[in-house]
Amino acid sequence: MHNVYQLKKAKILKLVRENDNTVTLKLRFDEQKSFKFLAGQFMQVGLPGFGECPISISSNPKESSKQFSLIIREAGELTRKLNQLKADDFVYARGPFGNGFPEVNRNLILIAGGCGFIPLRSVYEENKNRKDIKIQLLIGCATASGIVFRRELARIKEKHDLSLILEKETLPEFSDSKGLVTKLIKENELLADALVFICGPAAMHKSVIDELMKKNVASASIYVSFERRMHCGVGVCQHCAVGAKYVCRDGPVFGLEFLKANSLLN
Amino acid sequence: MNQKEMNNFAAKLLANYLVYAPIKKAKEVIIEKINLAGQIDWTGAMPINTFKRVLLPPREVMFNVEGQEYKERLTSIRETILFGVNILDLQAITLLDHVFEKDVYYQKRRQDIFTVGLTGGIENDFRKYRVFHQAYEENVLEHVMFDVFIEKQKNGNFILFSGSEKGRTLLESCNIVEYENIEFAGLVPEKGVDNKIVQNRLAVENSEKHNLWKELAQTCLACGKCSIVCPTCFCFDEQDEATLEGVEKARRWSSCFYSDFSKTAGGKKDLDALAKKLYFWYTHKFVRVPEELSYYGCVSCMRCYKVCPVGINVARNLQALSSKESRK
Ligand code: SF4
Ligand code: SF4
Ligand code: FES
Repeated sequence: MHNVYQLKKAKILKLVRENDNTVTLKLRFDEQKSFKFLAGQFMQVGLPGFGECPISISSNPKESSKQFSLIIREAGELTRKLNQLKADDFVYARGPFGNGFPEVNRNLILIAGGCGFIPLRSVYEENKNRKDIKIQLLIGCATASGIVFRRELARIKEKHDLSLILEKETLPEFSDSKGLVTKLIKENELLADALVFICGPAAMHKSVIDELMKKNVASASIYVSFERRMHCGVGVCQHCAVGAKYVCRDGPVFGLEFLKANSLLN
Repeated sequence: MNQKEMNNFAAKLLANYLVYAPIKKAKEVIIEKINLAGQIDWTGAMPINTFKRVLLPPREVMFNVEGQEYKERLTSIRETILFGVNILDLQAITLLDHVFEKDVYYQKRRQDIFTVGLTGGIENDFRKYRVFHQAYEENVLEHVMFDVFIEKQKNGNFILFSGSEKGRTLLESCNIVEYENIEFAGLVPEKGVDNKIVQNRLAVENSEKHNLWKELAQTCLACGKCSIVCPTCFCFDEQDEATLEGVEKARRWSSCFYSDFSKTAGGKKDLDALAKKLYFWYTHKFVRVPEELSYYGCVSCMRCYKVCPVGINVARNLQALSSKESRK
Protein backbone atom coordinates (compact mmCIF):
# COMPACT_ATOMS: atom_id res chain seq x y z
CA MET A 1 0.00 0.00 0.00
CA HIS A 2 1.33 3.41 -0.97
CA ASN A 3 2.15 5.54 2.05
CA VAL A 4 0.87 9.06 1.36
CA TYR A 5 2.85 10.34 4.32
CA GLN A 6 6.23 9.27 2.97
CA LEU A 7 8.50 12.29 2.58
CA LYS A 8 11.18 11.91 -0.08
CA LYS A 9 14.37 13.87 -0.19
CA ALA A 10 14.92 16.38 -2.94
CA LYS A 11 18.25 17.97 -3.65
CA ILE A 12 18.59 21.73 -3.95
CA LEU A 13 20.00 22.25 -7.44
CA LYS A 14 19.92 25.97 -7.20
CA LEU A 15 18.91 28.57 -4.71
CA VAL A 16 17.85 32.09 -5.53
CA ARG A 17 17.43 34.63 -2.78
CA GLU A 18 14.40 36.72 -3.66
CA ASN A 19 14.47 39.13 -0.73
CA ASP A 20 15.31 39.25 2.97
CA ASN A 21 12.94 36.49 3.91
CA THR A 22 12.19 34.62 0.71
CA VAL A 23 14.12 32.10 -1.28
CA THR A 24 13.39 30.07 -4.40
CA LEU A 25 14.61 26.49 -4.29
CA LYS A 26 15.05 24.54 -7.50
CA LEU A 27 14.73 20.91 -6.50
CA ARG A 28 15.12 17.42 -7.83
CA PHE A 29 13.97 14.11 -6.36
CA ASP A 30 16.07 10.98 -6.86
CA GLU A 31 13.28 9.83 -9.14
CA GLN A 32 12.27 13.09 -10.69
CA LYS A 33 11.25 11.63 -14.07
CA SER A 34 7.91 10.26 -12.96
CA PHE A 35 6.98 13.39 -10.99
CA LYS A 36 3.99 15.27 -12.40
CA PHE A 37 1.91 18.14 -11.11
CA LEU A 38 -0.63 20.74 -12.14
CA ALA A 39 -0.28 24.48 -11.70
CA GLY A 40 -1.91 25.39 -8.39
CA GLN A 41 -1.11 22.12 -6.62
CA PHE A 42 1.05 22.07 -3.51
CA MET A 43 3.58 19.88 -1.73
CA GLN A 44 3.92 19.07 1.94
CA VAL A 45 7.47 20.19 2.60
CA GLY A 46 9.56 19.38 5.63
CA LEU A 47 12.88 19.03 7.36
CA PRO A 48 13.67 16.39 9.98
CA GLY A 49 12.87 17.84 13.38
CA PHE A 50 10.90 20.76 11.99
CA GLY A 51 7.69 19.14 10.76
CA GLU A 52 5.92 19.94 7.51
CA CYS A 53 3.94 22.69 5.90
CA PRO A 54 2.10 23.13 2.60
CA ILE A 55 3.92 25.08 -0.13
CA SER A 56 2.64 25.73 -3.65
CA ILE A 57 4.78 24.49 -6.48
CA SER A 58 5.92 27.53 -8.40
CA SER A 59 7.62 26.13 -11.48
CA ASN A 60 6.35 25.27 -14.93
CA PRO A 61 4.49 21.92 -14.86
CA LYS A 62 5.94 21.14 -18.27
CA GLU A 63 9.39 20.90 -16.70
CA SER A 64 8.28 18.56 -13.95
CA SER A 65 10.28 15.60 -15.21
CA LYS A 66 13.51 17.56 -14.68
CA GLN A 67 12.90 19.68 -11.62
CA PHE A 68 10.38 21.65 -9.59
CA SER A 69 10.62 24.89 -7.63
CA LEU A 70 9.31 26.03 -4.32
CA ILE A 71 9.27 29.63 -3.19
CA ILE A 72 9.65 29.76 0.54
CA ARG A 73 8.80 32.79 2.58
CA GLU A 74 9.75 32.85 6.23
CA ALA A 75 6.67 32.60 8.38
CA GLY A 76 7.60 30.15 11.11
CA GLU A 77 10.40 27.93 12.34
CA LEU A 78 10.37 25.49 9.44
CA THR A 79 10.29 28.10 6.72
CA ARG A 80 13.04 30.05 8.50
CA LYS A 81 15.16 26.95 8.50
CA LEU A 82 14.37 26.32 4.83
CA ASN A 83 15.57 29.82 4.11
CA GLN A 84 18.97 29.03 5.57
CA LEU A 85 19.75 26.07 3.31
CA LYS A 86 22.43 26.01 0.62
CA ALA A 87 22.76 24.38 -2.78
CA ASP A 88 23.19 20.59 -2.55
CA ASP A 89 21.34 20.44 0.77
CA PHE A 90 18.22 18.33 0.93
CA VAL A 91 14.63 19.23 1.62
CA TYR A 92 11.90 16.65 2.06
CA ALA A 93 8.60 16.67 0.26
CA ARG A 94 5.51 14.62 -0.52
CA GLY A 95 2.75 15.29 -2.99
CA PRO A 96 1.58 16.90 -5.15
CA PHE A 97 -1.76 17.48 -3.44
CA GLY A 98 -4.94 19.33 -4.34
CA ASN A 99 -6.77 20.05 -7.55
CA GLY A 100 -4.83 22.87 -9.23
CA PHE A 101 -6.19 25.63 -11.44
CA PRO A 102 -8.55 24.85 -14.32
CA GLU A 103 -7.16 24.69 -17.83
CA VAL A 104 -6.29 28.08 -19.25
CA ASN A 105 -8.26 28.26 -22.48
CA ARG A 106 -8.58 32.01 -22.84
CA ASN A 107 -7.11 35.27 -21.58
CA LEU A 108 -5.86 35.21 -18.04
CA ILE A 109 -5.95 37.74 -15.21
CA LEU A 110 -3.80 36.93 -12.19
CA ILE A 111 -4.61 38.85 -9.03
CA ALA A 112 -2.36 38.59 -5.99
CA GLY A 113 -2.63 40.43 -2.70
CA GLY A 114 -0.30 40.48 0.28
CA CYS A 115 2.66 39.66 -1.97
CA GLY A 116 0.87 36.39 -2.58
CA PHE A 117 1.94 35.89 -6.16
CA ILE A 118 3.58 32.61 -5.12
CA PRO A 119 0.66 30.22 -5.76
CA LEU A 120 0.07 31.89 -9.13
CA ARG A 121 3.66 31.64 -10.22
CA SER A 122 3.29 28.16 -11.67
CA VAL A 123 0.31 29.04 -13.81
CA TYR A 124 2.18 32.11 -15.04
CA GLU A 125 5.25 30.07 -15.92
CA GLU A 126 3.13 27.57 -17.80
CA ASN A 127 1.39 30.17 -19.91
CA LYS A 128 3.78 33.10 -20.23
CA ASN A 129 5.02 32.28 -23.71
CA ARG A 130 1.67 31.56 -25.27
CA LYS A 131 0.77 33.69 -28.29
CA ASP A 132 -2.92 32.77 -28.33
CA ILE A 133 -3.84 34.45 -25.05
CA LYS A 134 -3.10 37.66 -23.17
CA ILE A 135 -2.06 37.75 -19.55
CA GLN A 136 -2.69 40.56 -17.10
CA LEU A 137 -1.14 40.66 -13.65
CA LEU A 138 -2.37 42.78 -10.76
CA ILE A 139 -0.21 42.58 -7.68
CA GLY A 140 -0.60 44.22 -4.30
CA CYS A 141 2.05 44.19 -1.63
CA ALA A 142 2.64 45.93 1.69
CA THR A 143 6.14 47.31 1.12
CA ALA A 144 8.79 47.28 -1.58
CA SER A 145 11.01 45.05 0.50
CA GLY A 146 8.26 42.45 0.56
CA ILE A 147 8.09 42.07 -3.19
CA VAL A 148 9.21 38.59 -4.08
CA PHE A 149 10.27 38.83 -7.71
CA ARG A 150 11.66 42.33 -7.75
CA ARG A 151 14.38 41.33 -10.22
CA GLU A 152 11.93 39.78 -12.60
CA LEU A 153 9.07 42.20 -12.49
CA ALA A 154 10.63 44.48 -15.09
CA ARG A 155 11.00 41.53 -17.42
CA ILE A 156 7.45 40.37 -16.83
CA LYS A 157 6.26 43.89 -17.48
CA GLU A 158 7.89 43.97 -20.89
CA LYS A 159 5.89 40.97 -21.97
CA HIS A 160 2.62 41.31 -20.14
CA ASP A 161 0.32 43.89 -18.67
CA LEU A 162 1.66 44.09 -15.11
CA SER A 163 0.46 46.53 -12.46
CA LEU A 164 1.76 46.67 -8.97
CA ILE A 165 0.74 48.74 -6.00
CA LEU A 166 2.13 49.03 -2.49
CA GLU A 167 0.08 49.67 0.58
CA LYS A 168 2.66 51.62 2.54
CA GLU A 169 4.88 53.36 -0.03
CA THR A 170 5.04 54.33 -3.67
CA LEU A 171 7.22 52.67 -6.25
CA PRO A 172 7.90 55.10 -9.08
CA GLU A 173 8.40 52.55 -11.83
CA PHE A 174 4.97 51.05 -11.11
CA SER A 175 2.64 53.38 -9.31
CA ASP A 176 2.65 56.89 -7.88
CA SER A 177 -0.06 56.11 -5.39
CA LYS A 178 -0.45 53.76 -2.47
CA GLY A 179 -3.22 51.28 -1.95
CA LEU A 180 -4.49 47.74 -2.10
CA VAL A 181 -4.81 45.47 -5.07
CA THR A 182 -8.52 46.33 -5.24
CA LYS A 183 -7.46 49.79 -6.35
CA LEU A 184 -5.69 48.26 -9.35
CA ILE A 185 -8.84 46.38 -10.30
CA LYS A 186 -10.82 49.58 -10.08
CA GLU A 187 -8.40 51.70 -12.07
CA ASN A 188 -7.25 49.31 -14.76
CA GLU A 189 -9.06 48.14 -17.80
CA LEU A 190 -9.40 44.40 -17.38
CA LEU A 191 -8.79 41.92 -20.18
CA ALA A 192 -12.05 40.91 -21.77
CA ASP A 193 -13.27 37.32 -21.71
CA ALA A 194 -10.63 36.24 -19.24
CA LEU A 195 -10.25 33.65 -16.55
CA VAL A 196 -9.40 35.31 -13.23
CA PHE A 197 -7.22 33.53 -10.70
CA ILE A 198 -6.90 35.07 -7.24
CA CYS A 199 -4.60 34.36 -4.35
CA GLY A 200 -3.73 36.16 -1.17
CA PRO A 201 -4.94 36.49 2.40
CA ALA A 202 -8.51 35.37 3.05
CA ALA A 203 -9.40 38.86 4.26
CA MET A 204 -8.88 40.24 0.76
CA HIS A 205 -10.90 37.64 -1.18
CA LYS A 206 -14.24 39.28 -0.72
CA SER A 207 -13.18 42.82 -1.52
CA VAL A 208 -11.37 41.65 -4.64
CA ILE A 209 -14.40 39.69 -5.79
CA ASP A 210 -16.73 42.59 -5.08
CA GLU A 211 -14.54 44.82 -7.23
CA LEU A 212 -14.57 42.25 -10.04
CA MET A 213 -18.35 42.02 -9.84
CA LYS A 214 -18.57 45.77 -10.25
CA LYS A 215 -16.63 45.34 -13.47
CA ASN A 216 -19.07 42.67 -14.61
CA VAL A 217 -16.64 39.80 -14.58
CA ALA A 218 -18.66 36.58 -14.75
CA SER A 219 -18.47 34.59 -11.52
CA ALA A 220 -18.04 31.39 -13.50
CA SER A 221 -14.61 32.59 -14.64
CA ILE A 222 -13.28 33.47 -11.17
CA TYR A 223 -11.15 31.06 -9.13
CA VAL A 224 -9.59 31.54 -5.71
CA SER A 225 -6.66 29.68 -4.19
CA PHE A 226 -7.06 29.07 -0.44
CA GLU A 227 -4.48 28.76 2.30
CA ARG A 228 -5.06 26.70 5.44
CA ARG A 229 -3.13 24.84 8.07
CA MET A 230 -2.55 21.31 6.83
CA HIS A 231 -1.29 18.07 8.28
CA CYS A 232 -2.36 15.09 6.19
CA GLY A 233 -2.93 16.61 2.74
CA VAL A 234 -5.52 13.97 1.87
CA GLY A 235 -8.78 15.04 3.52
CA VAL A 236 -8.54 13.07 6.75
CA CYS A 237 -7.02 15.08 9.63
CA GLN A 238 -9.65 17.89 9.41
CA HIS A 239 -7.22 20.76 9.87
CA CYS A 240 -7.99 22.41 6.55
CA ALA A 241 -11.74 21.82 6.38
CA VAL A 242 -14.05 24.57 5.11
CA GLY A 243 -17.76 23.79 5.27
CA ALA A 244 -18.35 20.45 3.58
CA LYS A 245 -14.95 20.42 1.85
CA TYR A 246 -11.23 20.08 2.41
CA VAL A 247 -8.81 22.68 1.07
CA CYS A 248 -6.07 20.05 0.75
CA ARG A 249 -8.06 17.69 -1.40
CA ASP A 250 -11.05 19.50 -2.91
CA GLY A 251 -9.04 22.74 -3.24
CA PRO A 252 -6.85 24.63 -2.80
CA VAL A 253 -8.47 26.19 -5.86
CA PHE A 254 -12.21 26.82 -5.64
CA GLY A 255 -14.47 28.34 -8.30
CA LEU A 256 -16.45 31.35 -7.16
CA GLU A 257 -19.74 29.71 -8.11
CA PHE A 258 -18.89 26.85 -5.79
CA LEU A 259 -17.82 29.18 -2.99
CA LYS A 260 -21.07 31.08 -3.25
CA ALA A 261 -23.23 27.97 -3.38
CA ASN A 262 -21.53 26.70 -0.22
CA SER A 263 -21.34 30.03 1.63
CA LEU A 264 -17.59 29.74 1.86
CA LEU A 265 -16.72 33.38 1.40
CA ASN A 266 -16.63 35.37 4.57
CA MET B 1 -25.64 -21.36 22.74
CA ASN B 2 -26.11 -20.88 26.46
CA GLN B 3 -24.18 -18.61 28.81
CA LYS B 4 -21.75 -21.37 29.75
CA GLU B 5 -20.89 -22.08 26.15
CA MET B 6 -20.58 -18.39 25.53
CA ASN B 7 -18.13 -18.06 28.41
CA ASN B 8 -16.17 -20.94 26.89
CA PHE B 9 -16.03 -19.08 23.61
CA ALA B 10 -14.77 -15.96 25.38
CA ALA B 11 -12.23 -18.02 27.31
CA LYS B 12 -10.89 -19.52 24.07
CA LEU B 13 -10.52 -16.07 22.64
CA LEU B 14 -8.68 -14.95 25.77
CA ALA B 15 -6.26 -17.83 25.44
CA ASN B 16 -5.20 -16.76 21.97
CA TYR B 17 -5.81 -13.05 21.66
CA LEU B 18 -5.62 -9.78 23.44
CA VAL B 19 -9.22 -9.03 24.36
CA TYR B 20 -10.84 -5.68 25.06
CA ALA B 21 -14.38 -5.73 26.40
CA PRO B 22 -16.84 -3.68 28.44
CA ILE B 23 -16.56 -4.42 32.15
CA LYS B 24 -18.28 -2.98 35.18
CA LYS B 25 -16.15 -0.84 37.46
CA ALA B 26 -17.65 1.04 40.36
CA LYS B 27 -20.93 2.20 38.86
CA GLU B 28 -19.67 2.67 35.32
CA VAL B 29 -19.16 0.35 32.42
CA ILE B 30 -15.79 0.88 30.82
CA ILE B 31 -13.86 -0.78 28.04
CA GLU B 32 -10.61 -2.37 29.14
CA LYS B 33 -8.24 -5.17 28.33
CA ILE B 34 -9.64 -8.20 30.17
CA ASN B 35 -8.10 -11.41 31.56
CA LEU B 36 -11.17 -13.44 32.45
CA ALA B 37 -14.40 -14.10 30.61
CA GLY B 38 -16.25 -13.51 33.85
CA GLN B 39 -15.31 -9.82 33.72
CA ILE B 40 -17.41 -9.09 30.67
CA ASP B 41 -20.47 -6.91 31.10
CA TRP B 42 -23.36 -8.36 29.09
CA THR B 43 -25.93 -5.69 29.88
CA GLY B 44 -25.27 -3.58 26.81
CA ALA B 45 -24.90 -0.42 28.90
CA MET B 46 -23.07 2.32 27.00
CA PRO B 47 -19.44 2.31 28.18
CA ILE B 48 -18.06 5.69 29.13
CA ASN B 49 -15.03 5.22 26.87
CA THR B 50 -14.61 3.66 23.40
CA PHE B 51 -12.46 1.19 21.48
CA LYS B 52 -10.96 4.10 19.54
CA ARG B 53 -7.53 4.00 21.16
CA VAL B 54 -6.98 0.40 20.04
CA LEU B 55 -7.74 1.24 16.42
CA LEU B 56 -6.15 4.65 16.48
CA PRO B 57 -3.52 5.01 19.21
CA PRO B 58 -3.35 8.46 20.84
CA ARG B 59 0.25 8.68 19.64
CA GLU B 60 1.81 6.61 16.91
CA VAL B 61 5.18 6.80 15.27
CA MET B 62 4.98 6.96 11.48
CA PHE B 63 8.63 7.40 10.53
CA ASN B 64 12.08 7.37 12.03
CA VAL B 65 14.66 9.64 10.55
CA GLU B 66 17.60 7.43 9.69
CA GLY B 67 20.54 9.02 7.96
CA GLN B 68 19.01 11.09 5.21
CA GLU B 69 15.69 9.30 4.96
CA TYR B 70 12.33 9.15 6.66
CA LYS B 71 12.02 5.40 7.25
CA GLU B 72 8.48 4.10 7.42
CA ARG B 73 7.74 2.43 10.73
CA LEU B 74 4.98 -0.14 10.58
CA THR B 75 4.58 -1.96 13.85
CA SER B 76 2.76 -5.23 14.26
CA ILE B 77 0.35 -5.66 17.12
CA ARG B 78 -0.72 -8.85 18.81
CA GLU B 79 -3.96 -10.21 17.38
CA THR B 80 -6.69 -8.38 19.20
CA ILE B 81 -10.40 -8.91 19.75
CA LEU B 82 -12.75 -6.04 20.42
CA PHE B 83 -15.44 -7.97 22.25
CA GLY B 84 -18.95 -6.92 23.09
CA VAL B 85 -19.03 -3.92 20.77
CA ASN B 86 -22.49 -2.39 20.75
CA ILE B 87 -24.21 -1.54 17.49
CA LEU B 88 -23.42 2.19 17.67
CA ASP B 89 -19.75 1.58 18.36
CA LEU B 90 -19.64 -0.89 15.47
CA GLN B 91 -20.96 1.90 13.26
CA ALA B 92 -18.24 4.20 14.58
CA ILE B 93 -15.60 1.58 13.74
CA THR B 94 -17.18 1.14 10.31
CA LEU B 95 -16.73 4.87 9.81
CA LEU B 96 -13.07 4.77 10.86
CA ASP B 97 -12.48 1.82 8.52
CA HIS B 98 -13.72 3.93 5.63
CA VAL B 99 -11.99 7.17 6.57
CA PHE B 100 -8.67 5.39 7.02
CA GLU B 101 -9.15 3.10 4.06
CA LYS B 102 -5.92 4.24 2.43
CA ASP B 103 -3.90 4.75 5.58
CA VAL B 104 -1.07 2.20 5.79
CA TYR B 105 -0.74 2.45 9.56
CA TYR B 106 -4.41 1.99 10.29
CA GLN B 107 -4.83 -0.81 7.79
CA LYS B 108 -1.78 -2.69 8.99
CA ARG B 109 -3.12 -2.69 12.53
CA ARG B 110 -6.68 -3.38 11.41
CA GLN B 111 -5.67 -6.70 9.83
CA ASP B 112 -5.00 -8.02 13.30
CA ILE B 113 -8.09 -6.62 14.98
CA PHE B 114 -11.36 -8.56 15.08
CA THR B 115 -14.67 -7.05 16.08
CA VAL B 116 -17.26 -9.06 17.99
CA GLY B 117 -20.53 -7.19 18.35
CA LEU B 118 -23.11 -7.70 21.04
CA THR B 119 -26.77 -6.84 21.48
CA GLY B 120 -29.74 -7.76 23.57
CA GLY B 121 -31.95 -6.81 20.63
CA ILE B 122 -31.00 -3.95 18.37
CA GLU B 123 -34.37 -2.25 18.30
CA ASN B 124 -34.32 -2.30 22.05
CA ASP B 125 -30.79 -0.87 22.06
CA PHE B 126 -31.94 2.02 19.92
CA ARG B 127 -34.56 2.89 22.51
CA LYS B 128 -32.20 2.39 25.41
CA TYR B 129 -29.50 4.58 23.89
CA ARG B 130 -32.07 7.18 22.76
CA VAL B 131 -30.66 7.15 19.28
CA PHE B 132 -31.33 10.56 17.77
CA HIS B 133 -29.32 10.56 14.57
CA GLN B 134 -30.65 7.49 12.78
CA ALA B 135 -33.87 5.65 12.17
CA TYR B 136 -34.04 2.02 13.21
CA GLU B 137 -34.17 -0.38 10.25
CA GLU B 138 -34.51 -4.12 10.53
CA ASN B 139 -31.56 -4.82 8.28
CA VAL B 140 -29.18 -2.53 10.20
CA LEU B 141 -26.62 -5.36 10.48
CA GLU B 142 -26.23 -5.48 6.71
CA HIS B 143 -24.89 -1.95 6.72
CA VAL B 144 -22.33 -2.14 9.46
CA MET B 145 -19.01 -3.96 9.40
CA PHE B 146 -18.17 -6.63 11.95
CA ASP B 147 -16.49 -10.01 12.10
CA VAL B 148 -18.80 -11.72 14.57
CA PHE B 149 -22.05 -10.52 16.06
CA ILE B 150 -23.69 -11.97 19.17
CA GLU B 151 -27.34 -11.56 19.94
CA LYS B 152 -28.47 -12.31 23.45
CA GLN B 153 -32.02 -13.58 23.44
CA LYS B 154 -34.71 -13.06 26.05
CA ASN B 155 -34.26 -16.61 27.39
CA GLY B 156 -30.60 -15.88 28.09
CA ASN B 157 -29.24 -17.90 25.17
CA PHE B 158 -27.13 -16.48 22.37
CA ILE B 159 -27.22 -16.67 18.60
CA LEU B 160 -24.22 -15.87 16.47
CA PHE B 161 -23.64 -14.17 13.14
CA SER B 162 -20.55 -13.87 11.03
CA GLY B 163 -20.00 -10.75 9.00
CA SER B 164 -16.71 -11.51 7.27
CA GLU B 165 -14.29 -14.22 6.26
CA LYS B 166 -12.19 -13.21 9.25
CA GLY B 167 -15.21 -13.79 11.48
CA ARG B 168 -15.96 -17.21 10.03
CA THR B 169 -12.37 -18.31 10.52
CA LEU B 170 -12.45 -17.04 14.08
CA LEU B 171 -15.65 -18.89 14.92
CA GLU B 172 -14.51 -22.11 13.33
CA SER B 173 -11.18 -21.96 15.09
CA CYS B 174 -13.24 -22.03 18.30
CA ASN B 175 -15.22 -25.02 16.99
CA ILE B 176 -18.38 -23.00 16.54
CA VAL B 177 -20.30 -24.12 13.48
CA GLU B 178 -23.77 -22.83 14.25
CA TYR B 179 -23.98 -19.29 13.00
CA GLU B 180 -25.63 -17.28 10.31
CA ASN B 181 -23.81 -15.29 7.64
CA ILE B 182 -24.61 -11.66 7.06
CA GLU B 183 -23.19 -10.07 3.97
CA PHE B 184 -22.07 -6.41 4.30
CA ALA B 185 -24.20 -4.55 1.74
CA GLY B 186 -22.40 -1.20 1.79
CA LEU B 187 -22.83 1.86 3.98
CA VAL B 188 -25.99 3.11 2.33
CA PRO B 189 -29.25 1.14 2.61
CA GLU B 190 -31.03 0.06 -0.59
CA LYS B 191 -33.78 2.58 -0.03
CA GLY B 192 -31.31 5.43 0.15
CA VAL B 193 -29.49 7.55 2.69
CA ASP B 194 -31.09 7.66 6.15
CA ASN B 195 -33.43 10.63 6.23
CA LYS B 196 -32.00 11.69 9.59
CA ILE B 197 -28.63 12.21 7.93
CA VAL B 198 -30.28 14.38 5.30
CA GLN B 199 -32.37 16.36 7.80
CA ASN B 200 -29.60 17.01 10.28
CA ARG B 201 -27.21 18.02 7.53
CA LEU B 202 -29.77 20.57 6.37
CA ALA B 203 -30.07 21.86 9.92
CA VAL B 204 -26.32 22.22 10.50
CA GLU B 205 -24.99 23.25 7.10
CA ASN B 206 -24.75 27.00 6.68
CA SER B 207 -26.01 27.60 10.22
CA GLU B 208 -22.79 29.50 10.98
CA LYS B 209 -24.70 32.65 11.85
CA HIS B 210 -27.18 30.88 14.09
CA ASN B 211 -27.37 32.22 17.64
CA LEU B 212 -26.91 28.76 19.11
CA TRP B 213 -23.17 28.81 18.46
CA LYS B 214 -22.71 32.06 20.31
CA GLU B 215 -24.83 30.82 23.17
CA LEU B 216 -22.88 27.58 23.47
CA ALA B 217 -19.63 29.49 23.28
CA GLN B 218 -20.58 31.30 26.46
CA THR B 219 -20.55 28.10 28.49
CA CYS B 220 -18.23 25.74 26.58
CA LEU B 221 -14.78 25.56 28.15
CA ALA B 222 -13.04 24.37 24.97
CA CYS B 223 -11.59 21.55 27.05
CA GLY B 224 -11.89 19.09 24.15
CA LYS B 225 -13.16 16.26 26.36
CA CYS B 226 -16.08 15.68 24.01
CA SER B 227 -13.83 15.04 21.05
CA ILE B 228 -11.49 12.76 23.02
CA VAL B 229 -14.39 10.58 24.13
CA CYS B 230 -16.28 10.64 20.84
CA PRO B 231 -15.92 7.40 18.84
CA THR B 232 -16.17 9.28 15.53
CA CYS B 233 -13.67 12.06 16.29
CA PHE B 234 -10.44 11.13 14.61
CA CYS B 235 -8.61 14.31 13.73
CA PHE B 236 -4.88 14.29 14.31
CA ASP B 237 -1.68 16.34 14.23
CA GLU B 238 1.42 15.12 12.55
CA GLN B 239 4.70 16.35 13.92
CA ASP B 240 8.39 15.65 14.16
CA GLU B 241 9.44 14.87 17.70
CA ALA B 242 12.91 14.55 19.14
CA THR B 243 13.47 11.43 21.23
CA LEU B 244 16.56 9.80 22.70
CA GLU B 245 16.72 7.59 19.61
CA GLY B 246 16.56 10.52 17.24
CA VAL B 247 13.84 12.29 15.30
CA GLU B 248 10.49 10.56 14.85
CA LYS B 249 7.53 11.68 12.84
CA ALA B 250 4.48 10.89 14.91
CA ARG B 251 0.81 11.60 14.82
CA ARG B 252 -1.29 12.36 17.83
CA TRP B 253 -4.94 12.79 18.49
CA SER B 254 -5.93 16.39 18.13
CA SER B 255 -9.10 18.33 18.72
CA CYS B 256 -10.64 21.20 16.84
CA PHE B 257 -11.11 22.83 20.24
CA TYR B 258 -7.36 23.20 20.72
CA SER B 259 -6.06 26.67 20.21
CA ASP B 260 -3.60 25.99 17.37
CA PHE B 261 -5.80 23.65 15.38
CA SER B 262 -6.23 26.03 12.46
CA LYS B 263 -3.19 28.25 12.98
CA THR B 264 -1.15 28.75 9.83
CA ALA B 265 2.58 29.46 9.74
CA GLY B 266 1.81 33.16 9.48
CA GLY B 267 -0.12 32.98 12.76
CA LYS B 268 -3.60 33.41 11.33
CA LYS B 269 -6.38 31.18 12.64
CA ASP B 270 -9.45 30.39 10.65
CA LEU B 271 -11.18 29.15 13.81
CA ASP B 272 -10.51 32.27 15.86
CA ALA B 273 -13.62 32.13 18.04
CA LEU B 274 -15.14 29.38 20.13
CA ALA B 275 -18.46 29.70 18.30
CA LYS B 276 -16.63 28.86 15.07
CA LYS B 277 -15.02 25.81 16.64
CA LEU B 278 -18.33 24.49 17.85
CA TYR B 279 -19.82 24.95 14.40
CA PHE B 280 -16.76 23.31 12.87
CA TRP B 281 -17.14 20.29 15.19
CA TYR B 282 -20.75 19.85 14.13
CA THR B 283 -20.00 20.33 10.44
CA HIS B 284 -17.50 17.50 10.61
CA LYS B 285 -20.07 15.11 11.99
CA PHE B 286 -23.23 16.24 10.28
CA VAL B 287 -21.97 17.73 7.01
CA ARG B 288 -18.53 16.52 5.95
CA VAL B 289 -18.94 12.84 6.81
CA PRO B 290 -22.34 12.63 5.07
CA GLU B 291 -20.93 14.57 2.11
CA GLU B 292 -18.15 12.07 1.65
CA LEU B 293 -19.65 8.76 2.76
CA SER B 294 -23.41 9.30 3.09
CA TYR B 295 -22.94 7.77 6.53
CA TYR B 296 -23.28 8.66 10.18
CA GLY B 297 -20.64 11.09 11.41
CA CYS B 298 -22.26 10.79 14.83
CA VAL B 299 -23.61 7.51 16.13
CA SER B 300 -25.83 8.93 18.90
CA CYS B 301 -23.86 7.43 21.79
CA MET B 302 -24.19 10.59 23.92
CA ARG B 303 -20.73 10.21 25.42
CA CYS B 304 -19.93 13.83 24.55
CA TYR B 305 -22.86 14.96 26.66
CA LYS B 306 -21.99 12.70 29.56
CA VAL B 307 -18.40 13.88 29.69
CA CYS B 308 -19.10 17.58 29.14
CA PRO B 309 -18.48 19.61 32.32
CA VAL B 310 -21.16 22.10 31.28
CA GLY B 311 -23.73 19.69 29.87
CA ILE B 312 -23.66 20.61 26.21
CA ASN B 313 -26.14 18.27 24.58
CA VAL B 314 -25.74 17.35 20.93
CA ALA B 315 -29.25 15.92 20.53
CA ARG B 316 -30.81 19.06 21.92
CA ASN B 317 -28.62 21.28 19.81
CA LEU B 318 -29.67 19.50 16.64
CA GLN B 319 -33.26 20.09 17.63
CA ALA B 320 -32.59 23.75 18.21
CA LEU B 321 -30.96 24.06 14.80
CA SER B 322 -33.83 22.24 13.07
CA SER B 323 -36.69 24.14 14.57
CA LYS B 324 -37.98 26.58 12.00
CA GLU B 325 -38.38 29.61 14.25
CA SER B 326 -34.77 29.46 15.29
CA ARG B 327 -33.39 29.65 11.76
CA LYS B 328 -32.50 33.02 10.48
S1 SF4 C 1 -16.69 18.77 26.58
FE1 SF4 C 1 -18.18 20.44 26.71
S2 SF4 C 1 -17.01 22.18 27.56
FE2 SF4 C 1 -15.47 20.67 26.81
S3 SF4 C 1 -15.08 21.33 24.65
FE3 SF4 C 1 -16.69 19.77 24.57
S4 SF4 C 1 -18.60 20.99 24.55
FE4 SF4 C 1 -16.97 22.38 25.30
S1 SF4 D 1 -23.25 11.44 20.44
FE1 SF4 D 1 -21.44 12.76 20.80
S2 SF4 D 1 -19.79 11.35 21.37
FE2 SF4 D 1 -21.42 10.10 20.45
S3 SF4 D 1 -20.87 9.98 18.27
FE3 SF4 D 1 -22.27 11.72 18.47
S4 SF4 D 1 -20.92 13.47 18.75
FE4 SF4 D 1 -19.67 11.64 19.17
S1 FES E 1 -4.73 18.69 5.55
FE1 FES E 1 -5.71 17.04 6.60
S2 FES E 1 -7.78 17.27 5.95
FE2 FES E 1 -6.71 18.70 4.73
